Amino acid sequence: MTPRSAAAEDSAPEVDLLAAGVRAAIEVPEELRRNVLVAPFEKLANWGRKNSLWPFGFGLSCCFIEFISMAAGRFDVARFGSEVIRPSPRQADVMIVAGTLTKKMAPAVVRLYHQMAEPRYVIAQGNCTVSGGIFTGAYSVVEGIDSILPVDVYVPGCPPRPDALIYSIIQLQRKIDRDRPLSRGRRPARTDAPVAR
Amino acid sequence: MTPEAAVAALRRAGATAEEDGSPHGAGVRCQVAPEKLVQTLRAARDEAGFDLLSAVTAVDEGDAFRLLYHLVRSVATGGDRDLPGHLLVEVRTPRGEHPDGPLVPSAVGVFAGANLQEREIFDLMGVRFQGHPDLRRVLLWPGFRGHPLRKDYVDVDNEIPWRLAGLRGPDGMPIDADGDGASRGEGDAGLEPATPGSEIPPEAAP
Repeated sequence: MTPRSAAAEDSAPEVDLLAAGVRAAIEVPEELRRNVLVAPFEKLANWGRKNSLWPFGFGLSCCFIEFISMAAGRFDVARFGSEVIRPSPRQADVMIVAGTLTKKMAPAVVRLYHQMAEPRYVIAQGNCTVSGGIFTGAYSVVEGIDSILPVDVYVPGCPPRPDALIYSIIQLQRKIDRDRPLSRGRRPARTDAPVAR
Repeated sequence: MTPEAAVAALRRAGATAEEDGSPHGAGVRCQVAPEKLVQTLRAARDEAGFDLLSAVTAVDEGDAFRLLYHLVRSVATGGDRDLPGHLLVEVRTPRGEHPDGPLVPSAVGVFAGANLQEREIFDLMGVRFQGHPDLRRVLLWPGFRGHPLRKDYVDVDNEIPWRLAGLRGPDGMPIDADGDGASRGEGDAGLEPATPGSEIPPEAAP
């Protein structure tokens, strides 16, 4: 399959043909139709990954308090799949950088990012990680983590409310919907899954 | 220890002392020259009963640095509001020519808790402490250039110290972002540690 333009490449008919072909080739008996699901691998993989995003709690300063609030009982991000905050980068899917990043801390952040297993995502929470925030121009602050890390979702705020942070995880879920786990980097992202409402 | 006795003890040690009528309770404040600092702190701790060094802070006054030693009496005064609870010792020292600041005797021999406080003042304000066992930066990283909390500090945009995390560049060598060639963690830019044979004279006043 040669890559074509994004509009023609990943049109809904192509995916449906694939699904239809699979359905035609696999006959699911009547009594099992409610238990057996046949679907394109990409959709299943994306669905599984987006609904079990375990955060790597990288709390640096005040934004981490809102992160904790998000994980606690009132806002409860566990209902979106972030069941546990993992202290080890090996076991985490999304690194939520919460708080001001100082130049002295930057090497540790990059090292931890490289220790995460793929697929991994980065959410920049708070004004300090987006652009340096109120500490722009200070002698010790990195003005925005996107100068050292690839960021998937930016959440402005000082601090952003826990529901804004949950919204950012939902945005990341929509972004994962467009992922191509089998051919990442070789095919453009899917366009049949909307990102922003 | 009444306020008058505390003041008398401090004056014997060489400080100019007076009672401080602050609204937070009875206190004493005094000014002392750098040469008499250590004996004043010792008198405050042993004779006047101020046994806890709460903090050491510094003020940049342009032509001089003013060091403030905040001492507290840790023993409860038992409801007697007239016993002095805190002592402020001020040392004023001219700025001098050294890029890392003037030399002041270290209080570590009297109060062990002054260790990190004096390292912080050296790190951010640039005041060197004679006799400190390990005078190096504590909040900023080795290789940082300048003392940021000085009034005349101009940001020289220090690079991120990548070598602190052992990160290597694409050639496999440790990343030396600020180009000073120093190996990881060794020394500070512009300061020698207080060991014999260093540029700081062992017993000289600033």
